[in-house]
Amino acid sequence: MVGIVRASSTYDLLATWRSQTSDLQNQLNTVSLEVATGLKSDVYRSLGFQSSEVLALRMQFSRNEDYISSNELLANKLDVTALTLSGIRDITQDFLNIATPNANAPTTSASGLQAAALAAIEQLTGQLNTTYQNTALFAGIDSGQIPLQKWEGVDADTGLSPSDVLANVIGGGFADGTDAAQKASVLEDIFSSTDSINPDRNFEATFFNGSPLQQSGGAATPRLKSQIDKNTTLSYGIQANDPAFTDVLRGLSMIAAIDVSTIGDGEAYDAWMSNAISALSSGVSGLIEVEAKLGSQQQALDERISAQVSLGDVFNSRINNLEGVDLYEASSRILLLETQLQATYTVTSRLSNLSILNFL
Amino acid sequence: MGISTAFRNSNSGLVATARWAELTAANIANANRQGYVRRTLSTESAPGGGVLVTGVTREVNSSLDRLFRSELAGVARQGVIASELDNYSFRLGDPADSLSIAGQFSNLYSGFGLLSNSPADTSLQNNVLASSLGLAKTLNDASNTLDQTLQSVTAGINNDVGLVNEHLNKIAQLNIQIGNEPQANNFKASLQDERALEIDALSVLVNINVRTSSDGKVGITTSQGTLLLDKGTAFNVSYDTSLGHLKVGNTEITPNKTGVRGFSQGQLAGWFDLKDDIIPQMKLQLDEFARVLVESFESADTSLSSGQAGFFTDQGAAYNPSQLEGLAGRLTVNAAVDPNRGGDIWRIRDGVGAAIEGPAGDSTQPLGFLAIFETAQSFDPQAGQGSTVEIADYLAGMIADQKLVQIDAQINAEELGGKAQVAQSARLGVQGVNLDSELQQLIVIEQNYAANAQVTQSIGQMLDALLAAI
Repeated sequence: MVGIVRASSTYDLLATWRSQTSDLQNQLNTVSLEVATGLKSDVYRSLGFQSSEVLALRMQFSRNEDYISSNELLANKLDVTALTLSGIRDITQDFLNIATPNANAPTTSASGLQAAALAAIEQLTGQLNTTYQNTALFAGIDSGQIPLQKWEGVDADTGLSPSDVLANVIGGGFADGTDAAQKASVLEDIFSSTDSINPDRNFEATFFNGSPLQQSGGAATPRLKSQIDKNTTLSYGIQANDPAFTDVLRGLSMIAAIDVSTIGDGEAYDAWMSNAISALSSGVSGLIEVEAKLGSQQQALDERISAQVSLGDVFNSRINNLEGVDLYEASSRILLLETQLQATYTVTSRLSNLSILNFL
Repeated sequence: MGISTAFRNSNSGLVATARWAELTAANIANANRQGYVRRTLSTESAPGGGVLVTGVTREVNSSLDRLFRSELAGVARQGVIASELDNYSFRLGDPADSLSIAGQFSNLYSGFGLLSNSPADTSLQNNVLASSLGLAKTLNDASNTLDQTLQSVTAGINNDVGLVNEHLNKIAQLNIQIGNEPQANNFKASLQDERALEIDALSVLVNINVRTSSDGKVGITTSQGTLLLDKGTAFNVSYDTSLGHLKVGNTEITPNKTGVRGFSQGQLAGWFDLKDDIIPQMKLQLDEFARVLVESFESADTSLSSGQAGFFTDQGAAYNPSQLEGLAGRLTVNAAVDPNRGGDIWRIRDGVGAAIEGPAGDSTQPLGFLAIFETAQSFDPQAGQGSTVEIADYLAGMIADQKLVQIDAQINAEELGGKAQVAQSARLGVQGVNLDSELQQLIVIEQNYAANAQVTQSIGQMLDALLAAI
């Protein structure tokens, strides 16, 4: 026999047809699933070494979404804080307007000052005790506590109320200008919580229930903080024992504790009232500073939120590119596979009819 | 001489044609049987001029056999890796799966993030606890699955060693039987078919070299030269569990080991890949992840005293470097933060070692824990993800790598399967039965037989005429 005849085994032919048909059917099923879901059926197999990118992106996307929602909550909290601070400044300024004419000597309005001061203290206490989602805004990290005692409210630890403290300091009245100045100085120590002679009278002991400015070792007490982005924290805590507020409360307390129109000694009056007015003015300036700082923090937070929203869109788009399937491309693949399968069926059927058996 | 020789010659033609028909019928009957090799008749001229049937030939191409068997061994090695890792790969989940290790880790990261902004919120504290318990459990399950896979691998090795010995013993027996058959007849051809099937089955398990000697017996060695079978003697393979070595007698044949004359492909090679490389590496990667969780939470927790266990523990104890192996399977959340186990939920905010509850709004410790997720940590470079990376990146790389081990094995198995298919088709082309070709031969056989019968009849008539004349 000349030449090489390459035969094929009948068994092998049938097996090959069967495996080719089932392979096409499997591919068709996979692509149909991808068209139905819009996602790759086996992301890891399709992406290979890029799979780790998808996983990392998903984690980053999820964290970014968390940052956006917690930052929006924080933004709301800061809005409430800003509104409250504005209210506090208005109350203080209004009082200052009626108190200032009486700074050095009493005028006809002096007799009404005590009642006005008490009313202002009550309003301020209410404002400073504002809560947001069950946590106090101005208590520092002891946010479960109500920051300020009411004027007549007795502190459980010291057994004193704010009015008791003032009464204790003022005593029977002022002997002269020096006495008044000395008592005003004691009040300065008390409101800055530095009176070591009688610490129970201190602002942080009796008036205020929140976090002290300093811990026992002398280190500053941590403030309310929020993580607004990766490795970025915002320290936004404003506390009712901050200097701006203690100045305001000191000035108001000095006028609320005694009817200044009854102070007989002119020098005593001058010393006492000018100290109180000065405290109030300093307090108002302090409040403006606090509000300004808060305002810039709010703006930074808003900008951060916008950036994070944009970043979230980028992550989402990238994830869809990696995991998603182009529907048009997938539909074309289905058409191609269908055609191939039909052709295979036709050829198989025709060839299986071609046998010498039919011609014998 | 003369008429009687003619008679004898045509008779031999009838006999030969009948034998040919017998073989053709056998070929057609066995056409769809796997392992059947097409028979042909071998004939030679008889001394007087007729035809002598000398035997039955099997149409075999030994180089195609060798090619097919070696591809088969390659497919089997990849195939066993792909199928054994199915269970574990399923546990790793899809990228969007929130209950996978990556999903649980992401939940924990979010949990600490939200808590650090509202540390007083007990529902957020509970959320962190739930996420950490979920992560620990998922990690435990993954580690246990790897352990179970390892057990299954050891069982697989033992099983396949038994099968290898069975095949070797059978081949040795068939060698003897084939050697005892002096003639190349149908029975001998059947024995040779059976022996070829046994050798194919052995090639799936171990890749081997087969040498046929002049007496028809085969000798089998591993692909790197260790003798497994010599004519009628099979040398049994054994598995030394304590050392993890595969042996023939005292000779080590552990696959893919340097300095050992073993083998490189086949299902047994796949089992050893899993046992010695793939699963230990995956375990190391999981254990490193667990270690970094335990150690970083210990160092970030300012409330702990020296040696005290932190947020994540080794079944309640602090991290011990000599106990790294299997840490992922033992990772637990400290009972001190879990109210269901006698702990207090506020320790999630105040630190595991805190004796009393701290200020409600103090986010210092939660921020300290959050920083673990946002700063690079040190990992063992052996785990393959770099030595200083963020945990999220380590985890993403680890999961992708582990998934790809199985996927690569599947792809390799498919590609090698394609090559094996081509080799098989070529091999069957030589040794398989083509029905059309056999049926065409039948036509020739019919004609041949009729021709010989006609000759016999003619000679018979001639003899009758001669006898009638006497």
